[in-house]
Amino acid sequence: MRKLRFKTQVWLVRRARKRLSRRTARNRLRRGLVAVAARVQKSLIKVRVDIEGRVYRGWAREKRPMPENFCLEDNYEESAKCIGLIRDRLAASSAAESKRKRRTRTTLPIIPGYNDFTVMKHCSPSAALVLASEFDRARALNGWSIPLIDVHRWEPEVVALLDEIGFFELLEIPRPDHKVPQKDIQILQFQTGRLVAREEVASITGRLSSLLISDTPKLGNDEDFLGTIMQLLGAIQEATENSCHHAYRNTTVPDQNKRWWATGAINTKTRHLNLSVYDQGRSIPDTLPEWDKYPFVQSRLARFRRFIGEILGEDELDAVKIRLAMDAPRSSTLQSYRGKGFPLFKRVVEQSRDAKLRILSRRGEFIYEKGRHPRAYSLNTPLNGTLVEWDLWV
Amino acid sequence: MPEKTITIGKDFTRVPGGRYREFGPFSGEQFREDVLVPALNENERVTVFLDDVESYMSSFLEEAFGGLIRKGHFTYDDLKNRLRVTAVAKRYLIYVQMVAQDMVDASNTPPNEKSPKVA
Repeated sequence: MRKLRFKTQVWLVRRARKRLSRRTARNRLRRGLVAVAARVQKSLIKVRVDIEGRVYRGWAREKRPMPENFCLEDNYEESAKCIGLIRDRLAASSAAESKRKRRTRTTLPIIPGYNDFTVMKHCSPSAALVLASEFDRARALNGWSIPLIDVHRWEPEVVALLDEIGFFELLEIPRPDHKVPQKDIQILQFQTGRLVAREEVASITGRLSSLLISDTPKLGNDEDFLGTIMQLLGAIQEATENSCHHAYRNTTVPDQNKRWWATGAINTKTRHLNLSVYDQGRSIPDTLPEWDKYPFVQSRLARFRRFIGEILGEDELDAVKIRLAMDAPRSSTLQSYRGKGFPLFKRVVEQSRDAKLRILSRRGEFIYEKGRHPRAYSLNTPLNGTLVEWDLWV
Repeated sequence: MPEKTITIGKDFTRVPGGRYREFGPFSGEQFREDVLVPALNENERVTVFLDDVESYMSSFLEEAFGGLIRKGHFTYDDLKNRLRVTAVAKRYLIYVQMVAQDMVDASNTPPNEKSPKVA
């Protein structure tokens, strides 16, 4: 065997040492990275993501639980807060998505945060309508696909309600098959539009009344019932006209989102109809100064202020403003041919056997119930826009 | 001069819209300009049946009938003799009353309010 020169031996030893130290450093780094990854993974939540009809496994950093009772009547504050957060999150996500579009995306990124629908046990039709409108607005604005997380773990009743209202169709996500419709309750797919509603809402009231008539045939010849349904349709149309005419005036809302959303639900057993119309405009208290009958509201408001002093802030007067607007007589000035159709909102209640009108607009809530005095409440969490809801027991 | 009968549900639409054309088809403005005014110009008497319609908005009725006076097409006294608004089905009678009130209100509207600007 040939003996290596001393110089070569030194070079080989140095090379071996260098390689060893490099390998040690690399291993140390790898161990460090594995530890970091383990720590990160420990803080991440494993999720199933439904997006554009495809299903991915992914990770999320944070989950924000939805209210257990997602209802704008029984659990208003929590539900309205949640809707506000969803709105902000959708706006932030759409901005991030538009940046991301510039790069080609090959993998699903870690989701920074999501709303956990799995904890939701109950959802009311009007809350579902407002929720769907937020997703619809975000989609129309940016045309991006909104992922839904862990749909397979959502409550079957909630899935059924959201499916019926058109939530999954809106997001182009296959309709989940683990839905269990609520007994006796049927919810109609939401309708939306930019012009005054005609056929769209006529289809809602037509479907609801035909369901009732098929259950109780004598209602088909009941003039009072047919008259109530007719006036209800007129009132919904008035609400959509208010949305077109007043709600989005002088706003920066893009044209494609100057819309109203409407839906209806029915419980054939209790003969209970629920109809909701929602817009994301400036709200009733905000648009009142531009209304023909504002002098009436203004004079009553001044009297109210004199009476209670300046205890309440401007925002806290929203409920009072809505109540005064609803009280404005049809021809208070003989000039007010351009009303807001509020008397028709109330007439539906007056004509029915048992009915309730509820208006949520910014920080004000107005309730007009048959046989009871009108009520108005201030809300801590504002609703973006106006929700008008009728409950009728026919 | 002849007499004309218009049934809104048959001669115009089953689902009327809102006040102005700009907010969608089959508005009160469209009904007034395209159906009612020509009918009143060509006939001595016009009868309008409000039947066969899904529903009415108050703004549709006001613009269609109150607008006849506000826009200066006809006077209230003239319409009182020449225009009859009625309905066969009981449930439409509330709208007949609304039309009557709209026309009275329009006749009382001060002149400066008679040509509204469309917002």
